Amino acid sequence: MKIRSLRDFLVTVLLASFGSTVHAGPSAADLAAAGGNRAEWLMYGRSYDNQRFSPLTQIKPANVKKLRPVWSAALNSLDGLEATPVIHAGVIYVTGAHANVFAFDAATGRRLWHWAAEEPEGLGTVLCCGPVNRGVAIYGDHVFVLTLDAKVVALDKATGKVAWEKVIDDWKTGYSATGAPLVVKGNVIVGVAGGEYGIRGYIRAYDARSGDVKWTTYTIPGSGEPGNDTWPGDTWKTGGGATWQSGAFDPQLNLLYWGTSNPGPWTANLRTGDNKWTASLLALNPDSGEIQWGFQYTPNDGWDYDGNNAPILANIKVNGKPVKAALQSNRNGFFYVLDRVTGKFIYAVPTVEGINWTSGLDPVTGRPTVNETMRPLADGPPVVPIIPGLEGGTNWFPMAFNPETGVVFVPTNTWAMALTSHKSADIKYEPGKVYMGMDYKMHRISETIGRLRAFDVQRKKWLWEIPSPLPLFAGVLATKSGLVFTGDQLGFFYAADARTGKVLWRFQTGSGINASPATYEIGGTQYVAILSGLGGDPSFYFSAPKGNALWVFALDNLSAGKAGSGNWSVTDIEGALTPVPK
Amino acid sequence: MKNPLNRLIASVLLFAGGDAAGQAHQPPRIDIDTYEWQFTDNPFAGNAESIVEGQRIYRSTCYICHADTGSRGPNLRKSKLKGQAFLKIVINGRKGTQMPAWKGKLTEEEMWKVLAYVEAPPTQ
Repeated sequence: MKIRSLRDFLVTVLLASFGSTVHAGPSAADLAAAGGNRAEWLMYGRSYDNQRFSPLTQIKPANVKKLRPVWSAALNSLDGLEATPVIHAGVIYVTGAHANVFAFDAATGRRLWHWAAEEPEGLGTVLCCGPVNRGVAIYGDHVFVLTLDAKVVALDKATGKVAWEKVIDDWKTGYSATGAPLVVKGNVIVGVAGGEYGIRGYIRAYDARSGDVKWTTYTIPGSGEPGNDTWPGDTWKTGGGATWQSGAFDPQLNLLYWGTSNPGPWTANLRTGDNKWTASLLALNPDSGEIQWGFQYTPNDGWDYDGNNAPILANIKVNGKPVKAALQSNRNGFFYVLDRVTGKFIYAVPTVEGINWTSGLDPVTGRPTVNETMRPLADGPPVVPIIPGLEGGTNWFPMAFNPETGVVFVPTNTWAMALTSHKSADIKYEPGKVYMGMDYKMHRISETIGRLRAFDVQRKKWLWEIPSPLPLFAGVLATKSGLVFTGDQLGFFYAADARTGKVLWRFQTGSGINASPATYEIGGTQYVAILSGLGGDPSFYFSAPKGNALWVFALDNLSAGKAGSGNWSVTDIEGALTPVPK
Repeated sequence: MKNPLNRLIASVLLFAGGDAAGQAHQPPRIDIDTYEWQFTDNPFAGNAESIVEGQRIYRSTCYICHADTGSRGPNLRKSKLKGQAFLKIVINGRKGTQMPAWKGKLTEEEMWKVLAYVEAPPTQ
């Protein structure tokens, strides 16, 4: 038994529990005030507005070139990392693939605990996009994670032991879960994946302490409900509208925002109508789950243009008028500014060149005018090239927003796809089977696919861009000091000047980056953390070394002799080798 | 860490931590050496009707990873695996990759039809 390391582990846990706060973990009020919490990163999008904007200023354009790795940790499997770290009371919580959850001392990298989900046989047969996970939520004594077999699990924050777990749905029928849950007013809000398997999506709230279901709201209205008439016959029962990402919350308006996926099958002529509320943003009452309004980005979608990206909530001025806005960069190639009080369209701009599935959006309603020749139909001919491709102008990876400058930093990809529909007679729903009705292929249309772009949402002006030959799949972090952090598929984690887009520092992490950075402060030192590990969708389109590392950086003059120097090891030495038998 | 009180508490609370659940659970595998095959060779090879059926199965199971010419998974039309060697991977999955085990999800006949489809000349 490794007494010394276990003792140190427990001391760390005790310090984590009592060192900086009196209560066990963040309260509902702490979560609501997360944006003003300088040192910590309390949820997926940092704060309920998803701005991913840190007030920390120690690392700045003038000194970022002194950023050095201070510790790194391996996260078990090589199946892709997509999470955003969450940091509270000196502990960093991250997820690897297969919903593995890890807690590390955030200053030294020492592993405190690890929890691995037990996966049933055959689970891989219902995962469209790899065994990925985007992170945890924390509240009170618990860390919450969603598993690939569609469970929500509450872990004891100090030990990683299961406090409660609930089955969200039957994975054998195609339901899964990969997003980070969101805790709002004592409820754990969860979404489901499975839009390619004929599920009917919903958002559900669980009581954070007991695990009891508080409410469930389907994204597709049931029989007799408003909007059900946008689906022919029984198509609504298997129509998709998955909710596979996290949401946003406005405590003042008491509105919860959640995006929905594409409808299924992909062949739009088999479900004529708008197919509400797929490819949409929904605003819900977080206490009852009741839908307050919906905005549909892509009615009767036929291109897999999910609308799942959680919006950034920002108070801005448009044409001189103050607006409580929701900002969203969509798979369909447009960046949207919506009124988050009413759900009304304000304006949109294309994020990529060459969009050809639509001739444009109605300037008042935002409704797209579809180029019907670009809509693939069951029994119809192949359609190519469709821009953007199904992976989108912006896929799930979150953008960041600087509220002081009104600039949003958006990862975009300019590429195309070919879609070939199956014959309608062959498109049949079977529980747990792929229900797409379409063959697809992504194509390159220029040397540059990825562009990190800066957009002034008030002046409606693109400011700069950083190109990449491969698609971007990493989220963004913006800091008050004027830096933007993100990563690329070449393996680089980099920091750019938020004003000019000039890359000031970069570090080769050894694998493609498909995750989102977070920053935090402990003992006067600011750290930046990022997961590196190719997986998920980018791994469909090119081969590159896989990885599974959590990297943490700090300025070298501050980290020397402090971070990473703990007297501990990554493995249990005792028991690693047995003595020669006598 | 130097506070003796904390060290004392830590010692008292020994055994409370450590790895919560160990390594990821591995599903049980068919013992391929003792598996009783229905067919030694592909009974559906070259059979037009079976190839169409194989395409239907391929689209609802394999396509999302293997696509037409490879994607997240390899291009199966160029697979060097023949006959039972191909099916062994389908039955048990491939350890260390995202290829799941299809036993219990597909019958042996369905797997042979998928093989008949990927070995048939492309129609488009």
